Amino acid sequence: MLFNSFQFLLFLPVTLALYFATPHRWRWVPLLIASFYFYMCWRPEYVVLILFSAGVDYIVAILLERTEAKAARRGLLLASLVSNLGLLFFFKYYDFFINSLTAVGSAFSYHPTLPALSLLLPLGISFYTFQALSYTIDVYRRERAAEHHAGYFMLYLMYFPQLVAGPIERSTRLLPQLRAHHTFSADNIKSGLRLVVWGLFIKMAVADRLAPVVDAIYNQPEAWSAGTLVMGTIFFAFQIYCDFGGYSLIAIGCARMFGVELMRNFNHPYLSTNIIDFWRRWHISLSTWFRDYVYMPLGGNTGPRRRYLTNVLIVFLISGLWHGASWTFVIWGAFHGTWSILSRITRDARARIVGEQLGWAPGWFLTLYRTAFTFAMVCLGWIFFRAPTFADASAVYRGIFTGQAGTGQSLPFDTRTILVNWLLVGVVLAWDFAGTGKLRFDVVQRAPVALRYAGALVLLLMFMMFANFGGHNFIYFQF
Amino acid sequence: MQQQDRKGLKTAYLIGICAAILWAVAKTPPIARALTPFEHDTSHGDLYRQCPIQDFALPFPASDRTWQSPPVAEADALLIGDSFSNVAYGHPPLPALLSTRMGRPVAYASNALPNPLRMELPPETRTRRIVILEGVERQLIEFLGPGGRSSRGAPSGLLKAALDFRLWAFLENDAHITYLLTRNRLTRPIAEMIATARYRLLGEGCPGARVFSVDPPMLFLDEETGHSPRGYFYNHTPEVIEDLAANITDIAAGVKERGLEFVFVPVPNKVSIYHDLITDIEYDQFVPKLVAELQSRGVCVVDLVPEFTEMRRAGVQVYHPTDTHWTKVGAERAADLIAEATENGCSAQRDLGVP
Repeated sequence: MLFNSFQFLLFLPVTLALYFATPHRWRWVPLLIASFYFYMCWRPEYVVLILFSAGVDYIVAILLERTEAKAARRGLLLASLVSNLGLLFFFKYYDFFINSLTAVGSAFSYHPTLPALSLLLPLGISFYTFQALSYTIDVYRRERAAEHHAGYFMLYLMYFPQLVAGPIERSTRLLPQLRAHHTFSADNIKSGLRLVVWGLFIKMAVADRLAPVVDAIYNQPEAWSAGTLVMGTIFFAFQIYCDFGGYSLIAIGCARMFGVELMRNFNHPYLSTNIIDFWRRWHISLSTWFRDYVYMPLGGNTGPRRRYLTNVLIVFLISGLWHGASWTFVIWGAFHGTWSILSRITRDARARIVGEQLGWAPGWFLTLYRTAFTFAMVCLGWIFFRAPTFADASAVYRGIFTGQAGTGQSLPFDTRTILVNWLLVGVVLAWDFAGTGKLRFDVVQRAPVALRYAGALVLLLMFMMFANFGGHNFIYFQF
Repeated sequence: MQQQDRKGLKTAYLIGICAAILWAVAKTPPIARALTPFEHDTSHGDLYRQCPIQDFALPFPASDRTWQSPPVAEADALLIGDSFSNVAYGHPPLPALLSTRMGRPVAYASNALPNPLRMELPPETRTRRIVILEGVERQLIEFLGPGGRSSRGAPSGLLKAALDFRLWAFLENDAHITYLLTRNRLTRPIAEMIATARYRLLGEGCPGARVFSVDPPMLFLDEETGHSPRGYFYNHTPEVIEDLAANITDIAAGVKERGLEFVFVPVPNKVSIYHDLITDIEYDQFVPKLVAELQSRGVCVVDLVPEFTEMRRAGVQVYHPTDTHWTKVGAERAADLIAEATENGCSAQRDLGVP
């Protein structure tokens, strides 16, 4: 089920009413049934995969709790890792692996006989697999006790607001909240609704409007001028931000109505002043997951410098691969990894140069310059993320950097459509600016009533005028 | 619990109950149909129904529902087709037009499972036995390409029941609820107002239908104008065409093995004929290339693209401006060409290399 569907418009109030009408002890039941229903609206048969993952991790965690022998504990953890990552590999990476093997093999006259399977990627598999893994690893590390209540554990993996595209929650945060007794709070409903409305707005009125223009441009990169390619790339940067950021806001808003506070996933990322800052603000739940379960176990930033820079690169490469089974995603990860390393290596030198050369400049100018530079670099990375193939990405880079004139054909969109798209990008950026350093909805709450109603009316009109009610999928569903 | 929370909880219960009732109503066809008369409204064409911009409320012919298909057992020809074979806006439907032109009874079957080999075919007692497979361009890859519906087996009774339940319980929810919430008597005027405002202020259509041309006024199906395998901008590589042609050739060979003649009719998308209204990019000639490939493999095919393009050049309206389907003239010309191909024996003469 999509958040941006009329179906969800009915599903949410029914679930909410059922939840609060049920005695606390049994509240996990309507929530779990609703979560199953939410997921099964897509492909009922794929729920078996979550049940399998949940079954394995539930049993492994309880056994881990009861086992003292180190070797046995390692064996149990390995069983969980193999089953979870095995499923993920099979459904997400098998074809990629076979195709890569075929490509490499043919260079050496080796032709593997394994066929590609063209399996449909189970919705949310990358998200719930990571959530399941973090739970088992936490139990293995004795950072939390195993969850003995199968219903609550299932709910932890299947909690519908964040089931298919995160935020990737930790069991230490989510499970206690699911178990807690939540009384109905009108304030939670109101603030949750505000998040849902803003999330729907940026998804339906911004991301879904930008999508067809981006598609048209990236479908034929050779046909457009350098300026159009730059516009397409900037539009994609905001499309993916509003798409995924919108999803996260709706997820957080929905969970808040049930009394559950999910972690913030985006913190106005395009206002970052450097790449490290960017990754502290973009898809925070994934970045922190990689930090805690990959980067730190690899040694983190302790040890020799070369080792820690290698760790950074490894994390980004895995992160790239997590996003999609394609070499373009791996290159995107490598791009960010390399940039992060260069940023760390040159930090002191850059500070010295800025001090010497730009000492005269006011602080806001330097911040603006750094923000613009970071955004431009992030956009360059997005080209690999968006382009379907390496050749397409190369064509976009070539077009931009050679000042390509294009074939002269016009975009199949009205000029007003393009102008409105720029306007909406400006609205999102302005909203982010307004919210810098504080929770943006506090700004709204503190405004005079008349202003709040006027703002709500403008937002409603803009939503009606600009929203795409076609029920477009969320980009991150494919990951 | 504070007073405002108690009030809020009561409101939440009330909204929850209303939402549950709406869901139940959406799932109850007689009630849902009574409340959403616009779901089946064809008074201005299917694209107008999708996107009710008042400026596009052009005159539209009424649907002629008088024709009844004869039983397949009593027909010489079976036309398996999609909505192009079924629509009758101001003209009899395609099978009726074909019956007249061929002078033979033509039965009609929907192409929901477009593999003729799984259908009831004209019996051996008939003097001629012909299968005509019609498919609109945008559905060819999905329906007749590798892995398309035609290559799937028919589900068993139990599995079918399970699938039907699945559809009822889950997959069709959104369509039912969307219809109920957007096409009822109360919200339809609001939808019209928004669509018209969007068009007048931004020059845009709605999801499902896009406006690309004001003079002449013309709406296009969203999916026809996109980049998916259904869209104008899809990259129809030679491999795509070869795979599709191979599949259709297999179907044709199977039909011939059973002693029937086979004619394939790919109907061009509206946008393939009116592409200059939406883009400077020339049509990639997907249908003519497919036709050439099929002809080289010995399959009898009717190519409507050159004829429709020529008619349009001559100022003839081949497709309705606010509907995805052909006009009376378009349907009649298609029937002429199909009848000509079958009566000239192109379907009987070709050698498909079947042993």
